[in-house]
Amino acid sequence: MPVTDQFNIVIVGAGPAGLSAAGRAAELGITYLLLESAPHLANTIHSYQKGKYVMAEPSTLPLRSPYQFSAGTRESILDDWQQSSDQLKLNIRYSAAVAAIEGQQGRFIVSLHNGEQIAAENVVLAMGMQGNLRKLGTQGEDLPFVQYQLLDPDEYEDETIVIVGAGDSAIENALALSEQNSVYIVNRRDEFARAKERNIQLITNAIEDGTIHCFYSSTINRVESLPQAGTNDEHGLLVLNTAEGETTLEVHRIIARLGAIPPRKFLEACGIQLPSADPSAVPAVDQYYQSNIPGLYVIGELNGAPLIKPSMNQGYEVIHAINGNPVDPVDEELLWEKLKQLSGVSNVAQGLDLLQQGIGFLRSLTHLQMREFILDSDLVFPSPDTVIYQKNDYSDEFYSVFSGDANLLANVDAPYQIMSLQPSEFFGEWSLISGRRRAETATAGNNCVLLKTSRRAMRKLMLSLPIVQQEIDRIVVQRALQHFLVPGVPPELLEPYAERATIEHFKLDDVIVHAGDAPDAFRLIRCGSAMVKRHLSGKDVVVSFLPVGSYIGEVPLLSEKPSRETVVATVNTETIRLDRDLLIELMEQFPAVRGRLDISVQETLRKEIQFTNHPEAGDLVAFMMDQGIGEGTDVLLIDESLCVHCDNCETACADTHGGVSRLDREAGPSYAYLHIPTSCRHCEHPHCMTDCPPDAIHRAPNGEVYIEDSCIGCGNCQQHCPYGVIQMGVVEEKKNSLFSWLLFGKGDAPGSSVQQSPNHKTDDADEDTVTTSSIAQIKKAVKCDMCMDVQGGSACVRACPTGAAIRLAPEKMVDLLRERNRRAS
Amino acid sequence: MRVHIDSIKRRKKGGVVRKTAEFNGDIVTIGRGTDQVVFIPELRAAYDHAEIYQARKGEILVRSQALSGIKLNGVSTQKSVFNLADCITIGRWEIRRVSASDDYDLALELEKVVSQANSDSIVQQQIKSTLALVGPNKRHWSWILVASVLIWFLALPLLGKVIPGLENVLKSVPGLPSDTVWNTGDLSSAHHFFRQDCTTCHQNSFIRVEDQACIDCHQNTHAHADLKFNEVDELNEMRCASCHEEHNGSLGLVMRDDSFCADCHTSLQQFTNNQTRLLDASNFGSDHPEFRASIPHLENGKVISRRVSLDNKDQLKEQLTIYFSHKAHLKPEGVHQTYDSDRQKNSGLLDTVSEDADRVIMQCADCHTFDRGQVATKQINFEQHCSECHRLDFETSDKQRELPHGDVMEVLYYLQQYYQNKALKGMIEDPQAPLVARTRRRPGQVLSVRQRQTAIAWAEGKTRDVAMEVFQFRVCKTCHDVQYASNGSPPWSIPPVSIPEHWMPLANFSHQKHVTVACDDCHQDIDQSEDGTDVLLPSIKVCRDCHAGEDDTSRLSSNCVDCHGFHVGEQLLGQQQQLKQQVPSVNEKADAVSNTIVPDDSLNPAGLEGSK
Amino acid sequence: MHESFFRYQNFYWLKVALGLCAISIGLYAWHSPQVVPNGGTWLGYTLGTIAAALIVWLAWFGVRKRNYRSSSTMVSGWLSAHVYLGLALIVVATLHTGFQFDWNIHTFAYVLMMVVIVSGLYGVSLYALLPSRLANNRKRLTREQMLHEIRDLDEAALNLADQIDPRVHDVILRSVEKPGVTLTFWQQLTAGKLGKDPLESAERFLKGYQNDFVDKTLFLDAQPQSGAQATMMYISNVMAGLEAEKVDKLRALMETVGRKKSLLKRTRRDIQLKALLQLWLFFHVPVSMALLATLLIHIISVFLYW
Repeated sequence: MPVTDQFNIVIVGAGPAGLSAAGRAAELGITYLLLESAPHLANTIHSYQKGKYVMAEPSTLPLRSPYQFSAGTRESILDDWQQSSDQLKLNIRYSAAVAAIEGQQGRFIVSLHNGEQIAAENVVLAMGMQGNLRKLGTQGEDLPFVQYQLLDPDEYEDETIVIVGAGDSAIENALALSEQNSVYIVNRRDEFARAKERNIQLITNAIEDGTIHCFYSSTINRVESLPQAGTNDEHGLLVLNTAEGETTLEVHRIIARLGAIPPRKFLEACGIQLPSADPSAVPAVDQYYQSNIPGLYVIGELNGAPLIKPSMNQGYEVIHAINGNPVDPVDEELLWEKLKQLSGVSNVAQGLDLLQQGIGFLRSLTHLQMREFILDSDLVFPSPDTVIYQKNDYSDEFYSVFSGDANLLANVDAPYQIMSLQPSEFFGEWSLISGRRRAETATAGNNCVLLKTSRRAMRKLMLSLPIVQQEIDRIVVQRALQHFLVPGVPPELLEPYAERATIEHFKLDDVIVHAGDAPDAFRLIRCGSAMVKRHLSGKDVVVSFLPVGSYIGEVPLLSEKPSRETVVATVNTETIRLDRDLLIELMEQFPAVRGRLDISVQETLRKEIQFTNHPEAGDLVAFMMDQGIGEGTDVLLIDESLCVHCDNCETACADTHGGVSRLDREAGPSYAYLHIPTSCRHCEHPHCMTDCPPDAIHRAPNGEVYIEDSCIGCGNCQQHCPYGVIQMGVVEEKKNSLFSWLLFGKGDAPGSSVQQSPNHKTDDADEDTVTTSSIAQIKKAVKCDMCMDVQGGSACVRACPTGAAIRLAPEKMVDLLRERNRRAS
Repeated sequence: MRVHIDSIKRRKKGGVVRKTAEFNGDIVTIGRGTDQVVFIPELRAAYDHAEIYQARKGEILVRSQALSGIKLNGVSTQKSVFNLADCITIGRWEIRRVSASDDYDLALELEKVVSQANSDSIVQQQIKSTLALVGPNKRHWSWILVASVLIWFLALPLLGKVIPGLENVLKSVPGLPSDTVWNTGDLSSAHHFFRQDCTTCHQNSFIRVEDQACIDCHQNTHAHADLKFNEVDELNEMRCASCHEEHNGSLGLVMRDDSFCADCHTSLQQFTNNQTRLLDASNFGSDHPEFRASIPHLENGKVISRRVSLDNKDQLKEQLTIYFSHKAHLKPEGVHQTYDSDRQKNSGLLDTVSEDADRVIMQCADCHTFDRGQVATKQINFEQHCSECHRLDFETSDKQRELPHGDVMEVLYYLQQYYQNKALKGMIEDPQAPLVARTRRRPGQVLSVRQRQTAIAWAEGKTRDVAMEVFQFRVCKTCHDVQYASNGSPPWSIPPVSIPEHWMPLANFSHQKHVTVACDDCHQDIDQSEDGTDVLLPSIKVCRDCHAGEDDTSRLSSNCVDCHGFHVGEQLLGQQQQLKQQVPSVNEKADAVSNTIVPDDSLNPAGLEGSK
Repeated sequence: MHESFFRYQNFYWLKVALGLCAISIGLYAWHSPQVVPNGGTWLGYTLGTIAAALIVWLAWFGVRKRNYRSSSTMVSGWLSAHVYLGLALIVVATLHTGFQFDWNIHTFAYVLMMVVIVSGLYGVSLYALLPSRLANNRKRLTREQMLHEIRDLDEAALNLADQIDPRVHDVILRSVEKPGVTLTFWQQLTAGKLGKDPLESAERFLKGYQNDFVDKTLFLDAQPQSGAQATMMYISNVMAGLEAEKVDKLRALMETVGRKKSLLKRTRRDIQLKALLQLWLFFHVPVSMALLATLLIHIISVFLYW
């Protein structure tokens, strides 16, 4: 196909970043074209649920864009942007999905799905992370009645609708639509396998009782539109290849839910390099958002700016950069605020350089990364001997020494283990990696200047820059060895050994050591946890549970016999592996090691005996591990032999947390009278933190994982939590006094709230009136915060009248088992 | 019949879509079968589930063909009348009968009800179902119970006290609550009369029962001690109720335990700021003074008794008594009954009584008798107890004649009359007498004035001689210490005799209770006593042989109240109440002391030694 | 670790309660009243005050329990105290009466108190017994899961029945339409009556249906003689339509019904147990309130007529 047009800039993706770029280009009178795969603006926001409230974070950051943006409902924002676009007479092309980009600066060729090709001097990629929705890929895939999303199922009635796909979204759409329409679902396979258990059950039921018709192992042949289609009758024709052969259907609507093509593939196809294999890794770009390919720019979520406002700013800035009159990034002042504290720094750039020179692992950062990194960090100037964090604190910041020195006390009662850190060294890495409590106490030395970085920023950096990862791993291994194996030996002595240690990653249920394996390696768990199983009387019995910091395989190594147990990772787990000879060298070099190991061997054997005497205890561990207690740091456990189902815990939780209970007592599994209600486990590496746009989820010094008010209610955390303990709710404080309710039933019952459906009532709450006033409020993510703001500790536990509820840290689990064993025998 | 069937679909965004159908036939069949008039595409419907048809009377009926029946207005039934606006439910479908336009016999509305469609809602309900949702409402029940209790046991009784007349109703009608429900326990039988009427005693609300309430009935009860006399705070504060506890049934109306008395009577002096002469006593067995007999004596003409301790031997003498020897009277062989005054002149008392003379053995009871209460001894008097043996004859020639006992003047007058009479009649045999007194008269003979004077003059002399003998040497002198004064008229006087009826008036000892004991078990050595002044009362030691304090287990345990009364004060309680009001001033007290010295001070312990 | 309210802090409150009883009894034994022991003596007033205070405090538990923000001790501790001191109240209050009972408000208050305590005792025993039963009965299913499964079984049963015979469907439909889990007050407590449950009859019917089908083969060659045989013949004729694969369906159906039945039983049992855990409170709480009122009257009246 011939190249149709020629543009200075082609912008891919009409999201916040893209729009703002295009808008700026329009203002500057640069020739440009904005391509949007969806038939409308800002597809991601467009696909938010109706009336969703969109936040404008970070509030401190000023907005720099031809478009207006302030917190508001989805609709208001979209309308607003639509208007501005019209005013700017935006040169935009809808439903134009980009297939490929070739060429280099000055002459890029952007080819679309429909085969059309567009020439551009510069290309700005701003399509976000959501990726392009997968299309039918057959004739007629773009016909108006073929859609790839379903916003409001209630829009359609009495239509014949075909859902294509077998995923959760497809099933959910089908079920929702089937209430008012005759629905067909097309499944490539002969069963629904990819979806959630419950969904599969629902859809199969629906198919059985005929509310939904399903074409199994069928594919789409083609879609045609029917001529002379009236308003109410079918205007589409769907041709299917079924097992029985071709079938045609007259339809009103086809909804294909086929997932999306992750942008990563596309980026790589364009030749953009990504630093790591991690799916969340983002391409490295320079301070003008230019990728490794000159003239190819990456802005918005694609380069790791998940929030709307920064993306819009980038859009603005990138145009200026391309136009050759770059502007200072908008975060200049913010950075200056931080950097001006450094002595002898006159401007941001200089300050950044200084830091990069001063702190080793920062040297490899790109300009942009550096800026972002510093934005997420703080400079602290602690006076000598101030404690930066205490051993067993739950804080997870990462500290780098810029100047002066800092001290680590691995063990307060063994002062000789003081380690002094020099500039460009760092600490706090253990908690960062293990997600556990601080393993040491850190105090400031003389004229000490530290760079304090949030866990999130640090992990992001490590993902995007493997070098940083390696650097930190190196130190982690060194110090881990020193802390867990060779106490009191200066790390430099350990360096040669640390070099040879390797780091292994295991997924949930991966086998770390097989029974019968030759004793070839010794491992130290640096993150996650593991179960030790032994094959006894025909079945695998759990004989031990290994939390962070435990050894694996010391027994076989010392006894020189093959391992009798199988060690399985109970969560995603990382271990430090020392090969046999390496360990032996260590032992010869440092006799202390031997001692350590012997002690641990005894301990292990003792534990195993205990477990083998009480196999049921082992099963219990297995059960708890299945429930992800292994990665939890504090879990709510209910003793079913004591619980009288009064739901006082739930009421307490709701009452102390604005009427939304963060735990569901009834739900959740139980085993041997031990019930694990649906409630946050405060994981060591909280899944909920993985993708929180406003970075609202944090871990408090005591370990509580909590959500700040800055939550924008995007629901990411809810989806990420494997234990379903996060819910979206409207938090509102109770106003009426307890007595007015207790005596006269006036006002809300304790713990009742707008969230409660009328038939969910606490005992006595017969005639409590549900206040509809605040229905309009925005929903935010709520989860257990271990009552960090409530005096006296967890309300659920304190409110339990029978003492059935306790909170437990996994390391205490052994005690629990011991107690239960006692009760058993 | 002609049936109009509307199948309804409600739009989620409001609005209704109707698909209208018409049916002509007798029976409207309903079911899953495609041949049914009303087609219900759902497994919860049978092929032919139900029929709607017209009965002869013209009313519309519905009949279920399926065992499961149909729900008519939520009630499952097999067959029933299908009235206007009724609603049949089969599975998730509703069939409503609506008013039909004229040209139709029946109009139906068919609708799939979405709310029921998601039976999740039902399941949800069942999941969250607690007894609280269906059970009675605790709050309501609490209020009901609380209210009824308050009304029944508090409001009604109170109203009874406020609204006149209501109380009587409450009390007369059995089962209705009056203030008697507040009764804390049964009354003592003495007070049963007003057990229904609490206010008899509880006169003022929230104020403990006041003494006045008791005094209203117990007007004549004496105070314990005279407050005018010694202002004892303890007595001031003491309420009737502090001793007399009610509402304990028969128990506790009277308080017996010594500790209560002991509170004051262990250190009475300080309580009465040294106004009393009473000695302390707290326990009969261990802490009680020797008895003190009240002995009468003469003080400037008045008879006054004084308390003398029984162990105070030299003081312990009877003063106003007679010559009397218990020994002589209680001789085991007895005493000679008729006693010859001539012989008595030159001999001892009874030793000369001839053997053959008749004798009498005397008992205590011959002289000492008691009133019915057996507390006080009866007064011993001559006529009753002595005269039988001790004859008052004075004229040997006329031994039958005796003198009157008692008044000296009377005796003299009697003698004068006697001898004058004899002399005038001339019946004297005494040779020394004048002739006129010796010559017997003939009837109608009149004496001359001289003769008469001579006779009377002689009689006077004779009287004087006999009187002298009787008073000073023989008859009276036997017992009484007769005084002679030549200038006195009459020249003889007999000192008063007073033998007490109560030797110990502050205690009430009952001989009745001791009948089983012989007199001399307690009144020891009586038969050795020759002197009338001996006080022959048993000492406390004697009592203690059998009696001990309340705490004692080996002997008879005796409380203070067994012998002593409590309400023995001067005034009545009533007066004391007024006294309590106005506390007596010092000088009032002073003359109070003098006032209270009264003839028989036994009743006023405070006055006793003060009068010595 | 888990610590039942019985053994809260190693029976702390039990010890306190026993101490209280011991002291009261000791005083009572040592005290020699003027007449007879009763509420009017100084000891009587003392014990009375203690008892009254206790009652009010015990009633306060209802408030404390709901005062979720209170940072004071654990509710389990309060319950522990509530139970043990509540029992101690028996001793204290009885000594306060001095064993003087009569038909009056005062004895009434005492009786109410005992009623409350006894009901509480009953409740406590339930708290001790039922939880484990509840758990055992659930066999690691939540009630939600049970109910959902029942509903799915219903659908499945209807489906199978429909493929067998309208009559079977009819019978099953009836058993389905009649809600298996009813939530009236009484049924919650009695766990319903499975006896006249249409499910039962459905099962019976299916058995008969199956037997008939088996018998059919026997009767095919037998001559229809007696009435009984005739009916059997009739039934077997009905059966005639029954093909082999229907037998499997029938078996499947019977199995489904059986599973539903057992599941239903468990669900009802679950509801019953939970109901039992609440039932006693409907008594305990209102009577406690009445007790408070009576206590008030008791005190007022005693001093009104002092």
